[in-house]
Amino acid sequence: MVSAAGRGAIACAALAAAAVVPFWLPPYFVYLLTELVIWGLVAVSLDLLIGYAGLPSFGHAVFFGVPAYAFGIAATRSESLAIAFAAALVAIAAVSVLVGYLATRTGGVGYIIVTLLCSFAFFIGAIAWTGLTGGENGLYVPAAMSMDALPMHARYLIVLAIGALVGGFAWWLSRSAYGLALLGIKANERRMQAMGYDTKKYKFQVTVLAGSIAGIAGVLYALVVRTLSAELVGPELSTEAVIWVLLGGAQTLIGPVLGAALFISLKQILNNIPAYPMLLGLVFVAVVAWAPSGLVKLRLPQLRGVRTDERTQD
Amino acid sequence: MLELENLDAGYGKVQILRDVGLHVGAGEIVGLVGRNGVGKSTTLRAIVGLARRMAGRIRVGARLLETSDPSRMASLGIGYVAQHQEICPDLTVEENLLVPLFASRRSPRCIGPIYERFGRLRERARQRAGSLSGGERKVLAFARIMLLEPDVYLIDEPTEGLMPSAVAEIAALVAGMRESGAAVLLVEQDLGLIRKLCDRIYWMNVGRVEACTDGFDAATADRFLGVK
Amino acid sequence: MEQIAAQLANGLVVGTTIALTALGLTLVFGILHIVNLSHGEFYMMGAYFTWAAHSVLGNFWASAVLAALATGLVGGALLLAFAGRLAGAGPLRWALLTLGFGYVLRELAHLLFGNDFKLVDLPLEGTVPYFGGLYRVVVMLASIALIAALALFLGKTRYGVMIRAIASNREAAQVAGVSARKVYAWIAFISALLAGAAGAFMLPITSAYPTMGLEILIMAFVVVVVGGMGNIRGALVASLFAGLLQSVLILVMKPSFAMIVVLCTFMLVLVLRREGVRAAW
Repeated sequence: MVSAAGRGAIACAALAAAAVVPFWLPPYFVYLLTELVIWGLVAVSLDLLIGYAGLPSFGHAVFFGVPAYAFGIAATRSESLAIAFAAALVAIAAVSVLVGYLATRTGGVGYIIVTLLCSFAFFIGAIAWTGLTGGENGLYVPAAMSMDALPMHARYLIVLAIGALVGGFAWWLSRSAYGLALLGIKANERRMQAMGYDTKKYKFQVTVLAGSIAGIAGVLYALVVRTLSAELVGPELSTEAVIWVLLGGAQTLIGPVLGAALFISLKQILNNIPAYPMLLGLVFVAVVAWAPSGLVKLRLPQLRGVRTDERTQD
Repeated sequence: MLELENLDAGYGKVQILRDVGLHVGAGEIVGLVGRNGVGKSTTLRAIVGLARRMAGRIRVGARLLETSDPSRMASLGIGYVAQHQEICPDLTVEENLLVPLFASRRSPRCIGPIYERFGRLRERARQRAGSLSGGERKVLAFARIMLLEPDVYLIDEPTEGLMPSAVAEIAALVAGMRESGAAVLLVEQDLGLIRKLCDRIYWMNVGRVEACTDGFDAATADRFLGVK
Repeated sequence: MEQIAAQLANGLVVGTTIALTALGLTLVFGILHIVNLSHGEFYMMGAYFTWAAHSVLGNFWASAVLAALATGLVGGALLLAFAGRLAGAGPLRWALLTLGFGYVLRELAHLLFGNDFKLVDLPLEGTVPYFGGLYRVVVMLASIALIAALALFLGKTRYGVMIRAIASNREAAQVAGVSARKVYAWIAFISALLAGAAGAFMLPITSAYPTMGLEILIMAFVVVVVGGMGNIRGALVASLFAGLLQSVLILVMKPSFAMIVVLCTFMLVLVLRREGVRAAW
């Protein structure tokens, strides 16, 4: 619909607006926006997996929460930012390798379930290993090790800058030959293999990439929000992230960001209505059933179902 | 017995058949011939509802075939033998034969005559159908459809990949269907079989029926198949 | 030594409950090609329905039977209602849809029954050596009976053969006259019924609460995936193994850790298997 250059211009304008507008908003909103940027990063990284590589990860929170915890644990124990960052880096690498390996060994349904189980296992671990993670009480990142010293707007701008950079990188990647290869693997892995692509390597790499992006988001979370709890690695967050991607529209990168913003905002707004989680659930079911490509790709009037599989036969 | 009028059909949004028309009478074997990909299998599948009908009419006997639910085809007297995956591999041979009987609420004893006719199936009754050889599978596929004594047979390349003795056996089976008065629409690539069995032949090209001959004609064969 | 025997016995009890739940899940996988992430909520429904019926009827066993049937109808209807819309959709879409179902059902339970635990007294008092409570033994036997009944139904009856035919090759079964739609309806019903029965059985032991479905879902999934998706025998064996392993590990570590170890063991098996994890379809 809009040309690539046009889109680029819109993106820059949006970014500029995002940077400047908060100066007129009360601090609480700026804080919310900061969190939204962080979640947006998570959504983008998950879209790389679901929308581009065809890896339906139901355990994405692990990439987000484990580095956050690593940062927090190292920060509380060592009083050194450098060590804390290093710990986060190690965590990102470890988790990425683990899940990356799983990506090469499972596919489709198996991948969904194994990633979900992973998230669940980490969740239980975070709750049970009280000595390390604070168990059910969670972990607090000491003020000295966080961005607390900075004014709200400064925090927001830093997070926005990092988000824009990383997001921009993901965008560039999706449009490159690498992104096309991923799409090819998603469409027909065997054919790509027949053409000489080492699909396992690609799947592993994209997992590490997506994991790193989510890990960066996790560290930002630790720096800004400072409260870490087991939910950050658990299936609830993992599946909510999938909802963000689906709501906004997979394979668009910007869609999941909007989806996350929409869903989280809805949660806040509807908070007062007693049945609100159920409403959210119903909305989600409706989207999956009637608008599976997500809201970004939704074109009104579009009430006919979209068939996702075309079988062709001799 | 079987009549197709102006049939358009395909899969999903993709249209494969365009304005296909043909008819098969009782007691005759009609061939449907053409190169790979022209829509021969799709024609059969459109009749039984395994491909999407987009336009046109199908008549069985004198009645219009309105339903496209594959489960109803057997009860309407239509027997379909697919080219691939024609049997249920995880069931035993006997269970494969019982399925059509159970589905049509006929007595399991109707198996008796089939076993009489196909001794080999009786020998392998308890064997898992997936472990049968290609030829035996085809025999089983035919047997389970023949159990229902359909008026119309739709058969898709039954001899593909079979050794000569098996081919002869299948050919005899198909000829027998004609004797029993059924209408047979046979998709085949084996020229010898076409020559031997078919009373009439429809020749297809890219989704259309373009010619019809009484029996095999070498010139037409050359035109549609590219062989002499 | 006695402790180990007791834990093994407990493992059998736990294993059969997992098996009952996992069976429904694997049936729906194998025959309907549906990834049902709300299966745990069917289990939850069974427990809540039993509690509700019990408050009215007073008889536990009658309530359990009614609850299982009700769950079968409700759960089955839920899956079938969207089967048309999602025809031909991949596992991801079904996973997402049932994820939504689970969410809605959990919140519905929360709304209707609140977060507190709904209790029912143990219907049977008394103990059995090594196994502990008499009720648990009866539940184990009832579960085994249900599973055996299902196996008989699928293996020997007219309808069972037709169901297996559809599972084996849908098109070949259809052209032989078997209605896929009816088979799907039956399988959806049975699947939900089994989960509901498991929930009903567990009510006196664990009581009913909105998140009870999530806990059993994880185990059920592990077992189904390791056993081979759609593979009934595999699911049963894996269930037993999971129950036994978990129970024995509890002797030496916290229950949560035991669960993690079981999960990791299974995931290891999954990943190291030569064929990795692929659905049969």
